[in-house]
Amino acid sequence: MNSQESDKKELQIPQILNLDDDFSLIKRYIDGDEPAFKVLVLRHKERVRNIIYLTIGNVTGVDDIAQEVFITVFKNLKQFRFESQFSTWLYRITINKCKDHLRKVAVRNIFTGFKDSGSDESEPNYEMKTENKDISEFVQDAIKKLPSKLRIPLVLKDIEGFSYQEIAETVQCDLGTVKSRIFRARQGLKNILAPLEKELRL
Amino acid sequence: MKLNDTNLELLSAYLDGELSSKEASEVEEKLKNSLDLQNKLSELKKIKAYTKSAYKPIEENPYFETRLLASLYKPKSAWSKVKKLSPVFSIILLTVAVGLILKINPTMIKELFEQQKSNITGFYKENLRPLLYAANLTNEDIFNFAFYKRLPLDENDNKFLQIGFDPNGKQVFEIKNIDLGREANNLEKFAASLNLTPKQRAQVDSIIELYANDLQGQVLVNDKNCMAVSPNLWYYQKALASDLLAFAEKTNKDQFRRIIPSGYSFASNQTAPVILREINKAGNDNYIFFTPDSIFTEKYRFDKDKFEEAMKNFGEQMKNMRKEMKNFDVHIFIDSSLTKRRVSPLREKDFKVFIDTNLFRVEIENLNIPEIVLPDFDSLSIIIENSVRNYDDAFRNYTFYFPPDRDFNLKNRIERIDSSFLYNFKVTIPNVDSILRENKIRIDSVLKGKTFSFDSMKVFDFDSRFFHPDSSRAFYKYFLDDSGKPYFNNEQLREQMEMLRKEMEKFREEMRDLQKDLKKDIKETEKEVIEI
Repeated sequence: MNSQESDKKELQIPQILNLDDDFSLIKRYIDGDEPAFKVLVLRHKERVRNIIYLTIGNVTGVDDIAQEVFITVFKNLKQFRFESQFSTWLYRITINKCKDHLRKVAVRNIFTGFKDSGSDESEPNYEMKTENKDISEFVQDAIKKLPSKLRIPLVLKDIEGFSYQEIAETVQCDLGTVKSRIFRARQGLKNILAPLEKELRL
Repeated sequence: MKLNDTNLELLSAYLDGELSSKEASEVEEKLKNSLDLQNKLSELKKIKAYTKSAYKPIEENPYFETRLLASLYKPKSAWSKVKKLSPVFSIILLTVAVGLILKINPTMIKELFEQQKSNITGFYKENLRPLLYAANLTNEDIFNFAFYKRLPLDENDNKFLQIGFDPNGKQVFEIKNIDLGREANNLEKFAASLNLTPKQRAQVDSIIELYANDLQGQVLVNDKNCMAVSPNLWYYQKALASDLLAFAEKTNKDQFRRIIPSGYSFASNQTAPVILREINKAGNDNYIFFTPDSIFTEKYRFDKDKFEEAMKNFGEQMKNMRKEMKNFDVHIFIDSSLTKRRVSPLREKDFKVFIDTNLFRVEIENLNIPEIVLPDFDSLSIIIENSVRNYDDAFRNYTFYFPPDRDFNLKNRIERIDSSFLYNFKVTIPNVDSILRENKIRIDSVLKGKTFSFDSMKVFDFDSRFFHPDSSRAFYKYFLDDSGKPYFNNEQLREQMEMLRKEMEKFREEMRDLQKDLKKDIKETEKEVIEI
């Protein structure tokens, strides 16, 4: 019991400390101050766009999905319960929109014969790849090849710098799962990058 | 700590700084003791670093919020709502349209299906030929059909059409690969068991042939992988069986009784005629079609007469063709202008090409290969071989000779007694040069056949043509020195001797020095020299 209670406290403390301006902005918006929403958007849009970019792996769809995210936020903000951080809620919506998008792309690929799957098409000729790409592009390709289940926690952790707890809340799974998925993602990356071991000095 | 997944997950979380302090210190403890883990950690670190640096942040979009707010506060037009519903509308419209068409022309769909069906059946009905014609059925096969309900479907008896009835009495048939336990010569056995006379045997054959004729039209195939089977097969089977049994009963009642329960008479039983009448009367011209797409029953009349006529025509055509073939003149036009263009003295004579059914041979002419005059290696090699053998024999038992009076006297020792400064030495130093000289002379004599009776070596006439400096060089090296004089050049021995000589010289040198020293000492101390 004791340990559980202390765990809870640990969880709750940062929330109280981090009671950022988001909450007051939301309150102002709910009270009828519409421009407050714009401030909220300005504050979070780049992070959201980056998360989308990392999650779907290319630039093209990013702004459309980000628009959808903020439209959803806009519609549901009045029902926002101040239980969790706004950012967590926002990122959860973002991730869900991204997943929807990836699902749509996958379905579309079934009908168009995987023409624009992007990551797979250049696989057979490694020679060409090594000539024209630098290391970060190899790593990007490798990350794209990971299943989204593993990719999302990995990029949230290593690129966006989320904590495991934040990832768990955003992706809506438990902490242990996050831990194992991140490890599996790294393992997967290692395996995908194995042919380039010399260049990467892994 | 082993490298299992749980541990590695912990390590990965440790790298991310996500472990509690207790867990972290545990991991650190384990890390100290395991090189594997340390390697793994550095590997994970590298991967993390790569991931971190893989993506640059996406370019900012300054118009984002403007666009967003515009779409948020834009009054939704009626048209956009309609647009959203457009898929629904189109589906409704389609449904209504189909409904209307059906209302006006209710049989349309059915007709459509019918048409499709007849298209398909027409497609498969084309060109149906009797399969059994191809299978070349023998009377034995037909007999087996009557009693074992199976018909071979191809000439090699690889596949069978087996007909029968399922437990509910419904007709079934199967196509089987070779089935085991099939007995051969059933017809012969049947005839033998009934003690048939040749005349009766001929009657049996005629009965069978009568049915065979009818059976032909019952299984049809064509080139579209379609097979059509007439359900009448079952009736024919029964009719034939009963007909044969009736005949058997008539000819040899006693034997027949042994196989058939008494009291049962096929002769009085009119099964066969009844069945045949039924078949002919019923207009029972349905066939079951097996196609790659589906199985269906469909009316089809196999016109046997027409088919036979066609086959006859075909046969005649073949005959005519064969006749024509005999009279074929083959004209092959050779473009002579081309050959003229190609004429060139070199090319014309270069190759000859022969083409046969199983041979393609090209003969090459006028190939200028310079001729090389080669020495007669065969005769040479025999002599070389012989001499090698002789050489070996000559030296195998040869002991090198040391002049007896100059033997090493190693029994003599030199001792130095530190306390008294006494020295004792008496060494005879061999003259190595003399040993070498001695041996050389002896070997020379061996080679000249003086010391040993060494007839075989006489084969070697050293002045003869075998010892040209360019020919068997390795060989003559053993026997001739640089001036062409024969001598024994055993490199190893010579080296050893050389080394020995040098060492002896050195030793002599040292001895001389020692002697001088000693003389000095003796003079100085004036002590006695004691012999040990």
